[in-house]
Formats: sequence, C-alpha cells, structure tokens
Amino acid sequence: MAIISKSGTIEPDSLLDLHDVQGGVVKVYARFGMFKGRYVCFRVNKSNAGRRFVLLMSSLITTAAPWKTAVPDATTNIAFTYQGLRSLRVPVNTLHGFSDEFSMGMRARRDILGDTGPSSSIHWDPIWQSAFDDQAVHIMILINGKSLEAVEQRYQAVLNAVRDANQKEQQPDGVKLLSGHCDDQRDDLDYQEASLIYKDGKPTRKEHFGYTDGISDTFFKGTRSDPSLVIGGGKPTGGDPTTIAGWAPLETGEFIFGHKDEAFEYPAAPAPPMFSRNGTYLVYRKHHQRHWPQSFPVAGAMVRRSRCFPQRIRRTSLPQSWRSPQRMPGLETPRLPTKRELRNWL
Amino acid sequence: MSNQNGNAYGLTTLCPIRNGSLSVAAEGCPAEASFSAVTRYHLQNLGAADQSPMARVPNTYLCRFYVLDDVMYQGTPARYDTLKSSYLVFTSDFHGKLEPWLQGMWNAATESVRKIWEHCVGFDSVHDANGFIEYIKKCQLKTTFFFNGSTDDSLADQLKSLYLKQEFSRFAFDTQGKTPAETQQAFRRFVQRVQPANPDGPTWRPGQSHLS
Repeated sequence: MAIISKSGTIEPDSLLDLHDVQGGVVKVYARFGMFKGRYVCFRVNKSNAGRRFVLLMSSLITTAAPWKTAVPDATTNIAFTYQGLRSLRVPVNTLHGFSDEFSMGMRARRDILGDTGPSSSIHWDPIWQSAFDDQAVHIMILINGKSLEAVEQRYQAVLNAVRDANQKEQQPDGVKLLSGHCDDQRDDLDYQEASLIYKDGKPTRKEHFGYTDGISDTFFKGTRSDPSLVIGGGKPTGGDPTTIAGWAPLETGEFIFGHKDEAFEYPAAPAPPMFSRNGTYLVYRKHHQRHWPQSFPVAGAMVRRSRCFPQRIRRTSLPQSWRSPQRMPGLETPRLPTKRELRNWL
Repeated sequence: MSNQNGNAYGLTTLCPIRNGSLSVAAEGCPAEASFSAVTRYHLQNLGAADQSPMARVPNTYLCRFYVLDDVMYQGTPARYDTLKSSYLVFTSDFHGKLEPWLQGMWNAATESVRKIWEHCVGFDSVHDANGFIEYIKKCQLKTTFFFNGSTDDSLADQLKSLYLKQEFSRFAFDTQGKTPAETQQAFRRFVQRVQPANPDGPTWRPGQSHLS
C-alpha cells in the first residue's frame, strides 16, 4: 500500500512482516469480541528450561497477521523483563542495548514515575514487589479470549508447555509459575484476570468511573488495518479532521524496532538487528483508582493516572461529567485551574 | 574485471522471496509464518562447518546465505526506499567456471537446494540442474571489485596446504629439544604420514574450521 504524502508524492509503505509482529501490538483484541483477559507470570530458574519453554510457546503466539479464516477463541502473547532475558542467557552486549527504563524497571524509577506514598511498591501486588530475589518476574504470558472458558483452555495449554519444558530438561522447577496477584479478597492468585465492564450482562466500553475507554488507538504504517481507523489515531495533516484526508499514519518505527520513525531514523534498539526487529516495549501497570468527592476544573496533566482530560469539566460530581458521549474531551474550551483550585487539589 | 579473478569466481545472486505466508508445523516457528521467515528458519537449521550441505559442493571456497528483509534507510537527506519483497541473498567464491560449479552444487546438495529456494519467486519451475543453472543466472548480479582472498589453486590444493601448515606446526612443537638425528628421523616419519605431494591423501575436510 502506498501513502500519498502532503506534497502529493507517493511514499512507499514499509514492508512489515505481520507474522513477525505479535498480535497485541497491532490488534485491539476487544474489537474481535475478546472481552476477557488473563496475565500470567513466570520465573526462569534454569535457562535451558526457559529456552525450551519459549520454543514451545512459539507455536501458540498470536501474530499481527490478519486472520484468514475465523477469529480464534483466544490469543496468546509473550513479554520478557530485563531479568527474564538475562535468565535466558541473552548475551550481555545485547542486553546493554535496551533502554535504561527497561533494564532498571519501574521500581528503581519510582521517583520519576511518581510511584511514591500510596503508590509506593510496598503497596503493589506481592508478585511485583520482588524485583531481584528468587520471585522476580521473568516472563509474562498475556491471554485474551471471547469467554472465560476459552481463556482457561489457553491457560492450561500454557501450563502444559511449562510442564513439558521442565520435563524435557529434567528440571522440575526450571520454569515456575509465580503467584501474588491480588483481587478484592486474596493476594496470592496465580494470575491477573482482566475483563471489560459488563452492564445488564452486556459488555460496555466504559471503565469503572463510567468514562468511555479506548477512544482511539494509534495507527501506524504497515498494519494493513481498516484505513478509516487513521482518524484520531494517526497524525494530523491539516486537512479536514473528520475525514481520512485529515490524518496520516504514524511511522512504524514509533512503535516497532527496525523501522523508520517520525525523526527519520531507526529507534535505538539492542543488537543484533535480527534480535530486536519487529519487537517493541510493553508497559504493564495495574491501577487502583479512587473516586474524588467534589468537582473542580482540572488541567489534563494534573489528573494522575487517569484519562488525560484537557478540558474543563462541568460543576457536577466528577464521575458523572463525561459519561455521556456527547460530552467527550475535545468538545469544550480548555481552561487551566486557578492557584486556589490547585492548592485545594494538591 | 567482474565475477572472475584468476581461476576464482565470485557469484552474487538476489532471489526474490514470495510475499505471503504458510502454515508451519515445526518447532521454534509460529503456526503461520511468512515465506521469508520460513526461508530464514531453513537457513538457520542448516548444518554448520563440515556438516553444511555446501561442504559437499566441489571447489567451494566460501559461501554465504542470508535473507534481506529490506534496505536500510540512511536518514535525511537520503531518499527513503523499500523493497517490494524480501530477498534470499546467496554469494559464493569458488574455483572454476559458473555452470560446472552450479551443476556440482545441484548434484551434491539437491534436497537442501530445493528446501532453501522453495519459496523464491519462480523456483517452482526448477526441476533439474539445467533449470537451477538458468534460475541462478537470472538472479545473478555482476560482482564488481571481486578480490579473491585465497590463492588461485583448487580447493583440494588449498585444503592440503592448510592441513600441512597445521601438522607442521604440531611437528615443530613435538620435536622441541630433540637431537638433530632424532629430528631428522621424526621428519621422515612426518612426511610419510602427511604425504605432502598427494592432495587426495590426509587433508582437511571441506568445511572444517578447527583442528579437532
């Protein structure tokens, strides 16, 4: 597919091997009816078993290639922490090519990220509190599915892969399932469940404040997605923003290693190129959001860990303001908070 | 002079790989993979060194396979360009002429050749050595600035030379401190063993890269 630039010249689209890109990077699984999710974490105690496990998982991994026949009932994707890659004996020179943010992890960067006070790591789910000891997370498997049954089935397939890997390498605990996820009652769960919010038995696009979620997803070159999704997901061209002509896809390299980015360069990536090409970073954060009792105008940057709301809200209870799609961000004149409002808020 | 440097020939080919994918039932591969990924998978699973199928191809000095996904963008003000498909890049330095060497390659490594080139554009029309020669010639690029990094001798002679060099180093080490008479006796036994004038005698195996 060629992209017609603003100057009228035709720029060739990047040749993206979607079979080499994980599905979760490109596809919004919820759009395909997968409203359930499960995140499972593992530790690699023996590198041979870990490598065997990754090898066995490769046939289960969902790619970004369009589905030719029916949409599957469940998908599987995999992610690694820096310590996880190290445990799999990825060479040191390659490890040094990762960004500091990745190699340090969130706990070491808590002051920069604002994870202090009530957000401090001592309040995190137990599974994330042990960054460097024998309970550190090395591999995360992300499962999405159309039903709990489909998710459970895929989960069991992953556990089978762990058992097979340990058995073949004769290491009973070569790869170990980590527990320590929390829900309302327990803090020792084997996985983190995820789901869309349901109302009257039907899935909604709301998050638990009542605000519409998934307003836009980034649209970049090479995904072969529906072209209309570039509206709001790409970069403005100066044309009519309600039409495709008002938007252009972002450069692939903004999201995937090994491709040109918006600065016309390749993003810094670990060597060799074959290791990192078509890979990307994944951020996993679990938030506990609290309702605020009163309303006030808020600048987007000051809303902590919630949606970025750049506009003034009405003087009603905060959770009620933007439940109506007619009152979504982007439709009102922005106003910054006064000094008094800032003091009260802080 | 392009392609040829003395008796040595430098072959450079770029063979386009089909766009598309296929279902794969192989460990280490996702359930469905692009043709370029499958080609790369076959290359990565070729035997190495003297176990490589190319070690059986007569008169091969050196060869290299890789999958070229796309051209690199050098940054502004260079013009951004992209390939329409991935390419299987195959280069080789060998002793002799192109067609006899390709014939030897087809005869010595037929199954490996079929597997490696299986997903290249137009390769489904290759059924025999003549078809393979024709196909490679279509994909051939002129090798400019070709410099042969070894002697102009046949592979057999070069392997024998490498063998003699290593064995003589070992001989020199083993005879340290011996008397001249002992050294002379040892040298006669050495010559009898290594047969310097016989390239078909003891020698290095094609593809061998270390002593043991």
